[in-house]
Amino acid sequence: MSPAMAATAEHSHTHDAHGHDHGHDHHDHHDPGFLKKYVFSTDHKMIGVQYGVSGLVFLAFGFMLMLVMRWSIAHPGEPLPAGLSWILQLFGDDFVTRWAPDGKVSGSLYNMFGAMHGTIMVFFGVVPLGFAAFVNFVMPLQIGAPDMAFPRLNMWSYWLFFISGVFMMASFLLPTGAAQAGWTNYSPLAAVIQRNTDARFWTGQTQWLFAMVFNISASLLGSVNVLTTVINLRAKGLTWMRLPFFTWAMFVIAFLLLLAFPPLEVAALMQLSDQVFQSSFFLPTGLWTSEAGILNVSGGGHPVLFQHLFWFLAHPEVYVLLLPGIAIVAEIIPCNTRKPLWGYKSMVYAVLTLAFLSFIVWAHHMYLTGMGTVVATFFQFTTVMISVPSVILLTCLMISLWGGSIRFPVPMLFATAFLPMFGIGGLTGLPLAFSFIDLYLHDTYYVIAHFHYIVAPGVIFALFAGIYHWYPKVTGRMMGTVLGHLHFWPSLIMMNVLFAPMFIQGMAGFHRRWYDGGKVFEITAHKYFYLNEIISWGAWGLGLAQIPFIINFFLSIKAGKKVTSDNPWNATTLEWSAPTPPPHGNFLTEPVVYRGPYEYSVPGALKDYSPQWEPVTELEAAETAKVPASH
Amino acid sequence: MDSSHDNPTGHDSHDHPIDFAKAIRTYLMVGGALVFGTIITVFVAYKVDLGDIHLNIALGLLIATVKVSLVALIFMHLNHERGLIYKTLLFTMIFFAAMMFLFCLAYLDPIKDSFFKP
Amino acid sequence: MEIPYTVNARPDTGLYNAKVGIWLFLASEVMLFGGLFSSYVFLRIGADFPWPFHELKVKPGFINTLVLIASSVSVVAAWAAVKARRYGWFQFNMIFTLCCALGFMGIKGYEYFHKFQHYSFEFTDGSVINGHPIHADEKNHGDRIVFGEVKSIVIDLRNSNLEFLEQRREKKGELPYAMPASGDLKFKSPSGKEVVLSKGWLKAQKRKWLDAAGELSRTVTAYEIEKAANKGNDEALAAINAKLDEANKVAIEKAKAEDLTQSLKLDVVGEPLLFLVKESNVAKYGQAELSFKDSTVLQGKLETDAIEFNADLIDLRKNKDAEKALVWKYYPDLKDDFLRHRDEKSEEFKKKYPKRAGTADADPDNLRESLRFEFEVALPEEHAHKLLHDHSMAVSLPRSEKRFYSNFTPALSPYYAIYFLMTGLHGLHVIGGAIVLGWFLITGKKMYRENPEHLANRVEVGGLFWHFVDLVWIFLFPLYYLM
Ligand code: HEM
Ligand SMILES: [Cu+2]
Repeated sequence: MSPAMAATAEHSHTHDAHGHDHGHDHHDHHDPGFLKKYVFSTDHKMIGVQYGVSGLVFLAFGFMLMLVMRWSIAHPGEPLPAGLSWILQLFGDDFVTRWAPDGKVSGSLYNMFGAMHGTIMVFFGVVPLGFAAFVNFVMPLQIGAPDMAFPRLNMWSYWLFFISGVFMMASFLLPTGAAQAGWTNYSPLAAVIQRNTDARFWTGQTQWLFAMVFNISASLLGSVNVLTTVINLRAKGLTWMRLPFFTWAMFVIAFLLLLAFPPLEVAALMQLSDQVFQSSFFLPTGLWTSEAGILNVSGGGHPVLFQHLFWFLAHPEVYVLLLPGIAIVAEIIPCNTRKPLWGYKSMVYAVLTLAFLSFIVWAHHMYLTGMGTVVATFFQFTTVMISVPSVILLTCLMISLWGGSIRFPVPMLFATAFLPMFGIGGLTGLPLAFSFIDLYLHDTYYVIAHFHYIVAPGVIFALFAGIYHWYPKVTGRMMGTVLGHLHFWPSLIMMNVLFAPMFIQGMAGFHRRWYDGGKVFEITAHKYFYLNEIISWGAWGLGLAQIPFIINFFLSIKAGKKVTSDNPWNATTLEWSAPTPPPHGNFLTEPVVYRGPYEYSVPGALKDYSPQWEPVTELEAAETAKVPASH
Repeated sequence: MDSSHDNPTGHDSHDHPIDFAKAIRTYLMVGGALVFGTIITVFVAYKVDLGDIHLNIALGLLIATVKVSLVALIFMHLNHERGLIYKTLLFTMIFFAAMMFLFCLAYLDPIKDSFFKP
Repeated sequence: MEIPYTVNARPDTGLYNAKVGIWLFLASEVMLFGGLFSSYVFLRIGADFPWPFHELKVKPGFINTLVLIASSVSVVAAWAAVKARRYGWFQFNMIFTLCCALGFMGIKGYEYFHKFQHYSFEFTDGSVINGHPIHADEKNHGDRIVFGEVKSIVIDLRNSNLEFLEQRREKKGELPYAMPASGDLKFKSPSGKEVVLSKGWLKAQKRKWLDAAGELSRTVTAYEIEKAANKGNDEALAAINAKLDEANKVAIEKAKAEDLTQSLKLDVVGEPLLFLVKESNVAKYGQAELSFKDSTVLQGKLETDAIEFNADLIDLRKNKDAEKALVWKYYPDLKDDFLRHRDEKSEEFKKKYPKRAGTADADPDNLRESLRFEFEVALPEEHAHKLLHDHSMAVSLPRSEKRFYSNFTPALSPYYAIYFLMTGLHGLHVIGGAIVLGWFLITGKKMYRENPEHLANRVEVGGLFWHFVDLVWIFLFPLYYLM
């Protein structure tokens, strides 16, 4: 038996034993103090928690903006009821006076909330929670590293993100209000909408860009850090093909962020220049608005350039949204079916292919910009191609369920629901890939339904699954099962009440930005108005369904059932070998990896799971010792 | 964990031997080549008649590319680097090329239906 | 806790952490500048204006290229010096590199500064003249709009910021002679109160207005909710509407009595006022009214909106017909010179570049040489001197004939926009790199004593970044200065 084996073999200590005995001699010997420990922490786990909590707060906030919008759509021209008007009050009296003096949702207010809902959900909610939080907390543990490769940069990443959030939120309070040109922020609308003011820097549109520059910088620092950590800090024996799929997916996401975000930064800087220095990157010659007549700008620029730069990021970005979901589900399914992940290798190659292709499909969002047949054909082709790896991923996950003796703790409920929901979202994307269909469906509720099926009942469910799954590692306590069920079932139903009718409305031609739900198009649209109300009921219901989660989340910190082992789910990946909660520096002894990540129910093994860190045979131990990946 | 680093006192440790004089000579030579390349670029832009100004532009960019390769290969040690870095840069260059190429292609291939002509 | 591989390379990847990190970062930088270069190409092939060609002065760009090359050599030499354990050489090379950075930014600043001083006026027909407006001082209004006889000002309580007051002038004799004005301004408000316009007053009034409006909005909302609850019940609705009207009436009367309406018309007490207004502050203006972008409105009389301009160059590349260009209205005696110069230069071009003669009509070089008429170069010295330095030769360009007017900033054209963005971003990289290298120099000694390999790694990583910055410039220089 190798010395490493002896040190890592026994892992049934309780939380207390670790927290005190080992935690102590492993910690730095001085107490780091409150600020360093909880605020300006360089510990990847604390940063993960910070990202996670911020992400959840932003998700809740973005959700509230949506509630106000849904009211306006379902009940145009009616004042917000008391049950919703408190959301406006959050912004203070002056905001209400400026934007909703009669308690009704005006077009500009709707536009503001719409733009900010999308922005906040994508850049401040799902990515920080799905990518930043999970990768920060789980990945270093999963690869057996003591921390991220650059802990201090990691802290900077969070605080840059925080600053960007502050600027974004503060922009609501400006006299111009926050940005109002959609989350895609297309020029020239974005450039002219709040043009008529002296304070060119202090407008919602400008602050959106300014905040995005910070957000992008934060994500660049974060992704460099993640990539370096995976490349250079894998534990001894953890070869590439032994990496859990979670880490693989996160690795790929980090590459997407690293290489796709800079062009958006370019777009943001250019639009910032258009805003502040009055340049014309995206403004064509002779641009006319009813307010100002022919704009006093040089012109000569190109609105379409903005769309290219934006979607060059934003298509990879949708995979940044999706892949954390797949990553999490790929961990939870094998653990709860007690079976290996089916087709691990093909999933790895699929995710790599997907990442590659995602860089060359972006203009499928731009079929309506008047592109010719050559370019349209190219992008239709690549878009259809990219659905192949997506389908491989989904298929592997589904086949993984086959023939398992499945147990259904709360995380598994959410993970299972992810599969069909993502399936619906993905399949409805296929028709959009063809320009002749897309010309009709573009900018309708069909598109809204398509991507929300992926991000909301899909990815957000997966994120909930991840929270329920890793909560015991973070806090040492389980989240409650009853509340979990009360959270899951209503959410599942309401999500579908909310999003399924949107397909119908979209095919009926409902435009995605009608603030009054289509009232001015009553003659043609009236047949489907009743769906507006049904969808909104889905939204209220979904909101209520989150209450058990919030209670569960906070209550379980103090009152949840204590875990009795470091590995409460009997899982196989390395994070479950660390003490609970893991101390600064993570592992008590240097971890060594002996096998692939999903060795469940190995024939002949003593238990139904063979953790990565436990050698079974002499041969295994000897072989691993030969792998050069060590100190 | 990182207990095996070099002799901490450093000064007389030469376990990464480097021929300083030779290295400096190489760097100076490359610097000279870059200066020379710069002069040629200016010359090509003003004094050479290739029959079409676009050829001059292409030639100028070609010279710039050669200069950049010198910097990358010698100053940035890309002439002897690890595979991982080559792979990363390869994909980066592919995506960059795709971006530049497809932007232009999209611009140069508008809808040609006479219906849309102004 | 210690992070592995901060100094030594990991055996299987062969790299230490910082080197992996910097190369990944550089990959993202490639995409950043890649996005900018792609945009450059897109804007250039899609330009509907003559793309400036050979227009920047080559000398400063050329010198800067050499400066950066030198610094690249020195920074890699500094790394070699640490590797060879020669600390003195390391220090020398680092200091040399930092001096180069300083020199580079100095030259850059000089170039920028000269651009900001220079203006361009484009006529509605595309004729362009470059030069500078006569300074707006007590003797002249330069490129300001002169708006006088102002008897009332309409303040917008939501948006006005009073910054326009700085553009007020005291009238002295005939226009355009005016002096900066001073002293309090007294107004009469709609309710008949006397108001001294100041930031403090405005802030207080804004607060009061918002409070009053907030109160009204709460009342209205309450009634609206009541109305929604009584949908269909006409009788109740009528009653509620009546109450709502009453509340509105009361609120409006109160607002009028206390000057709490969003737009407040203030009448000047005493002499009418005069303003020399910057066009960039103006949303729109006519003969009797001028609105600022902050929604403040002046009511008075437009005295003149012409630009007093001293030209140094005429550029007709954008005109279809040089002989009928609008600019000749202002410079009639230069027309013949211009046309002669044009024909001469075309001939010269064909001789100089015989192979390019066939495409001369579209050749940017030829167009630039023949259709850009630089006084200093193309005219006899005496004549040029008169035009350039004698303000009595300045012309007065009415804004009605202007398509666009700006100094050489990003606003002037997408070419200058992307020029400033790319070189500016590059300059920021130079500054950032210099700060990091400077930090290594200052803290180097200690690290060198403790672990020279660690310092070597740092310098290598910093150097990699520095070379990348150099590499970007090697493309920027020909792209902007030479083609
Ligand atoms: C399975 C393959 C997929 C295909 C073929 C596909 C196709 C498309 C197409 C063609 C559009 C443009 C529709 C339009 O604007 O007219 C679109 C929009 C969108 N897709 Fe997908 N999609 C796929 C998967 C995904 C995934 C995995 C996500 C992840 C979240 C996603 C998120 C989005 C978003 C956010 C939009 C709308 C962006 C906007 O206009 O605001 N899609 N999709
Ligand atoms: Cu897409």
